[in-house]
Amino acid sequence: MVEIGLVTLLLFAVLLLGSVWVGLSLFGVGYILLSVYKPNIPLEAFAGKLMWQAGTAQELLALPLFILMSDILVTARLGRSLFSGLAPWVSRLPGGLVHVNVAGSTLFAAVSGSSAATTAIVGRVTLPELQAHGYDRRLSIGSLAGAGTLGFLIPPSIIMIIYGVVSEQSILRLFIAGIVPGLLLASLYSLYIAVAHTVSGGRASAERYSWGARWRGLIEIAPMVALIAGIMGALYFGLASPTELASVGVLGAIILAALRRELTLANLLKAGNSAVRTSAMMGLILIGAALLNAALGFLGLPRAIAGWIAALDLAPFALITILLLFYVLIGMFLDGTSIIVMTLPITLPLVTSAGFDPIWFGIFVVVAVEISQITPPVGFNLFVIQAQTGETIGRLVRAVAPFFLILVAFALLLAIFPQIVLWLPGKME
Amino acid sequence: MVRAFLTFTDWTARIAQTIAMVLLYCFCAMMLAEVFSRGFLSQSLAFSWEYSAFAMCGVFLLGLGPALQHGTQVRVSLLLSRGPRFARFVDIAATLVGLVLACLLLEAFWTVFHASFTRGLRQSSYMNTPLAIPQALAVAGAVEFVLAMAARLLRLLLGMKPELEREVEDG
Repeated sequence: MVEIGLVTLLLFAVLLLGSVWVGLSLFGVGYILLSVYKPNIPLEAFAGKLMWQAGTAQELLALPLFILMSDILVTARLGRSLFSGLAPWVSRLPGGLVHVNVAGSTLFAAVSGSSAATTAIVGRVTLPELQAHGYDRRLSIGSLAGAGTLGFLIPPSIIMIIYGVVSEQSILRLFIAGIVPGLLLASLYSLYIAVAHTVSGGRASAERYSWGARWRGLIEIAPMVALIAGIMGALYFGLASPTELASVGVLGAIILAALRRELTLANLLKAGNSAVRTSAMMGLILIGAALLNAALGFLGLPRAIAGWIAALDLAPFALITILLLFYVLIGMFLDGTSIIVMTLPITLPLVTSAGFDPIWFGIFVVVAVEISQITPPVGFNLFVIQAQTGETIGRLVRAVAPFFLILVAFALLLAIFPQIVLWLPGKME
Repeated sequence: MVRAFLTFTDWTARIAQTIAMVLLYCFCAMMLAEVFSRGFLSQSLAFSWEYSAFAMCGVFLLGLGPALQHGTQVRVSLLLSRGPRFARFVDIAATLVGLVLACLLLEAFWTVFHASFTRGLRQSSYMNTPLAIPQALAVAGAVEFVLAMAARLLRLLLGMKPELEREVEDG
């Protein structure tokens, strides 16, 4: 078993560090392991059938639809509305307009399942505005990168769908479980912004908004709030499955784009093409992981590793701390989907046998994936902001450091108080 | 000859992406039809989930080549930032390995398609769909992926840019 483990690690190291695409690497490791250690299996037929089943799993249908919904909203240019709708309401808070990053990301996260899309949409408008109003650039950039990660935690969430499918947990319950932690994390970000802005001697925004401007702002974001209310209501009251909700969400996004006069054939084609490419990237990872996980299962590796770690007899909190450290480390090199499909067969049995709820672990893993979005060298939110601002990765990392620490502390907080996650899904029963 | 092959693969990628996009909007429409049919007519559409799942697999496979061409496929880029000459060498080696793995992927999907076609296998469902039809889409996608990987390798060997410029997201 030690030999199989070492060969698996070596294959991963060679393929992943050798810059082979993640989905193909997963497929390659699974294929090689089966051909070497299980030579009697008719490999082509076995792999083909397994990947066909993985690619046609009906639980996955929500994934490309939520990606499409997000891409349609991107083409609808919502960022400008978010800023003009939210700025009048937050300008008098300590931290002023920087709060638009958090409030805007929270709102957009509730209609989009993607962290990078949230960061791109909100940042394209807020960063130039904040700079023009003289706000601290480091705080502006850091808060955007941190708040952008809310795209994964606040439902609908692409990463939660992946977790739900791989772990065979209810995607609906995962979505509901993400609401309270998402809002709490947004509040923590806002609290930090207020404190950091005040401590650094920043003053409240000089710009004065009338009540008329505030209500006009609300009207501007009203269609988006209606879409959010529809999604959240249908989720909470169980009116639709995640897949049905995603298709209605696409329709809602199209209506929203039409209301904003951004519904053109060119925009629909652009959104469709972008959604196809993102879905294909995730699809390759998922079908590659299906073969890898089958191979590892055949060889008994997850069971052996779980047994080995269980023999260490770690306290539950120590286990979670070690897992968090592990996820932060691999999150520096891998994207969220890869992290989940590669680690879950080993980590999920470990944490459930330590007494943790699989839904709780789902939210914990989502927070870990959020951390991976802002840690170099592979941090997708950093790449988005780098493309928008031209800042070096080093400066971005310094800006994002406080938000990284907030996320780590938040993950540990969830471990100490699991009810933050489990309270709302419990109410559904 | 090489230029003609690259032009050909650019076209196949564009066609694959367009078909995948049509499939994506189609299965979204099917799911919407299912929601409205169940909600207002109290009747479920027998084909909606099954055909949507086939269409999704088509989206995944047909989108592989275009995603590679646009640089959407993710990978660890640690070694690719170590100087242009070394990065090019690593990229060529990675693409070569990628080409081999893409061929194995194609072989696996072809084997399943061939078995379904020759044995006349059908989906065990109400619709009883002949499996060879949706699996042909998956094979087409896997062929396109091999072509896109081969084109990428050629571009790298010729010193050309292997990927298209990324579109900047606007908001």
